[in-house]
Amino acid sequence: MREVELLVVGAGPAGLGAAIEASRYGVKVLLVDDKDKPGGQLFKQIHKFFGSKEHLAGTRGFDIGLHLLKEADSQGVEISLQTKVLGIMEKGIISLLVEEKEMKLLKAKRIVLATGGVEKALSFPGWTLPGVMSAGAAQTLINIERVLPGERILMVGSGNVGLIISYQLLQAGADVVGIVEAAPSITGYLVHAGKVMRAGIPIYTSHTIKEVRGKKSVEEAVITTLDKRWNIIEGTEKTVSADTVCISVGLNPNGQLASLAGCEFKFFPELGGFLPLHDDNMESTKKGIYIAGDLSGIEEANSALDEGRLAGISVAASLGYIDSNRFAKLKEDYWDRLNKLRGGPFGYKRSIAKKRILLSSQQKEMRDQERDCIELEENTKLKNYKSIPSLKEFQEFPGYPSLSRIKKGAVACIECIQEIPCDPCVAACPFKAININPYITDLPYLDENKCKGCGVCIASCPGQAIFVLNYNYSSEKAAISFPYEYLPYPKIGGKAVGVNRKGEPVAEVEIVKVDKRANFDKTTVITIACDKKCINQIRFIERIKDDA
Amino acid sequence: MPKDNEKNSIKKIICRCEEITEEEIREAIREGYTTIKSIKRRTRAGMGLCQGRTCSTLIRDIIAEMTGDKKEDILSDTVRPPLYPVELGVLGKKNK
Repeated sequence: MREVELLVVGAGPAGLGAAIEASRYGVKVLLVDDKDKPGGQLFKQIHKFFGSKEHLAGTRGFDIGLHLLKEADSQGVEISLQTKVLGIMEKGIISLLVEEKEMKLLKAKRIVLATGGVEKALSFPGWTLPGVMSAGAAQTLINIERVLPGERILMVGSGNVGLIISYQLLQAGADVVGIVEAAPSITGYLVHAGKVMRAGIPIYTSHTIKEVRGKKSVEEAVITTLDKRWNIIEGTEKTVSADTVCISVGLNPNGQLASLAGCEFKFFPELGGFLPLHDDNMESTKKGIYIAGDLSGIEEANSALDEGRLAGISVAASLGYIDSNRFAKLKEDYWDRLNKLRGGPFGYKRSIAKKRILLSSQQKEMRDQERDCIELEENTKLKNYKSIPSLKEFQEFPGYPSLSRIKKGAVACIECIQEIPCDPCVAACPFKAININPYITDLPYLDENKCKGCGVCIASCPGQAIFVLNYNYSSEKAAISFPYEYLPYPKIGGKAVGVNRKGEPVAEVEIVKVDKRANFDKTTVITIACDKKCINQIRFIERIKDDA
Repeated sequence: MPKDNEKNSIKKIICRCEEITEEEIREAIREGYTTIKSIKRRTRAGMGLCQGRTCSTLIRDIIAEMTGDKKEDILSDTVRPPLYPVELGVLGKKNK
């Protein structure tokens, strides 16, 4: 029987991170994945990622995937694809099914489980009709298979996954007829919501999907309003014509293999439900079995990658490849990075749940008092939005230039008003006019006197929340620049309908510049000329739907 | 187009692999089967190809709603190998 030092199960960001780091320090690693390509969900992610420089923020997800595969290759990680782990048996014997046709038995000194998450289902009459699918399935169709799941899509769930995939469905050429959200406010990042709202997509908060109807496949969906206790208010039914309904209501950790291996589980609703406990080395309650990524709590790709890397160095240290001093230093760095990613109002619940996991693994309960303090401190920053805020609200934030500065000429206008872990705009600015400090979750501050309005920051922002306003474009006209990621591009000299932050038409505008420079990485920057009075209203144009 | 909501909710499938409806799950809970494991044995929900990957969360929600039990107290079913379907011929083939 073959024996390896480390078996990593799952070649997504967490598994790749673990395999690469363990290999870097000399561990012989076998990485297996049930799919025919490595990368997990990374190659479906065509948007620019949030985060900091060490997380390659501002890079598109699939490029991060390619980067990791190259690293795995250069570190000599052995990857076995179409390889399913059927079980972890007595005496630690692992059974593998390779390409559906061959069984292999294996022993491993250490195992890292990075089996990811499973999308949650939502049941309603008609949910088994063809045309109802998980949002992740729709994303696979458009970004991997390059097939549109339908033409008129209703998205259920306004978390980041629902918002991002809605945006990508628009990019792929579908119509998104609306986004339904049961909570009273948008649950994902406002900047992601901003992208789809600018494109004219309505977000129905305090709404749920009641039923989907159709003879052979989806023809229409019935949505209804919810009261404060999340009960359906009778008589509020609205029928929406749609051929596809995408469900994006969160994920569960995929814990089947961990359960089979004998790891102890506990329920953490903030992190997706039941998940295996782990200590600060990412080791589960079963000695020698480590976990990372969505399995250890549903988060996002950067956290998964860093948790994987942490698991990788922990394995290397436990096998004697890293001395304890060096390991302690590396471990501290990774925890520092992870804590940063979990900072801010969006991360605080996950951050507390993670602390409880560590305490649970040490058989300690977190004192309520301690928890309340953290909650109170972080919760004060949390502000929920039902829709895009008003101009007045935006103007209160440190990225919005003053009216007097706007009148002086070209200046950046940063409409980033939630504390999320992201800072590529800081490095993008050649004049050091944007600052985010001391924490990566702090809001970007615009030093309006240093800003020259060059617009390099526009394409750097993964949230597409930066614009350039030029009040003095000509004696009558102002110019507004914004990011645009749809095909076909508008033509210079052509007319378009300028729209506001909610996608509502404001005025006819002229396209004056279409900047496709290579280092914008396919985020085109469009500049339009409009009436000076529209400078604080217009933020986008109605999308050009075909080459006509 | 079906308009009868009542009829539709009765037909609402929870376990797609074994085609078990919500009403069958609710009936089992009324009979006293209030764990994911016992509901599986009573109705076959979760016994199909996906081994409850999709429906167990939905079943947990229904149990919680009907019994008032906390979700964290409604345990998942025991996981057993093989985690994926394997052809018997492959399983029985002698290892080289």
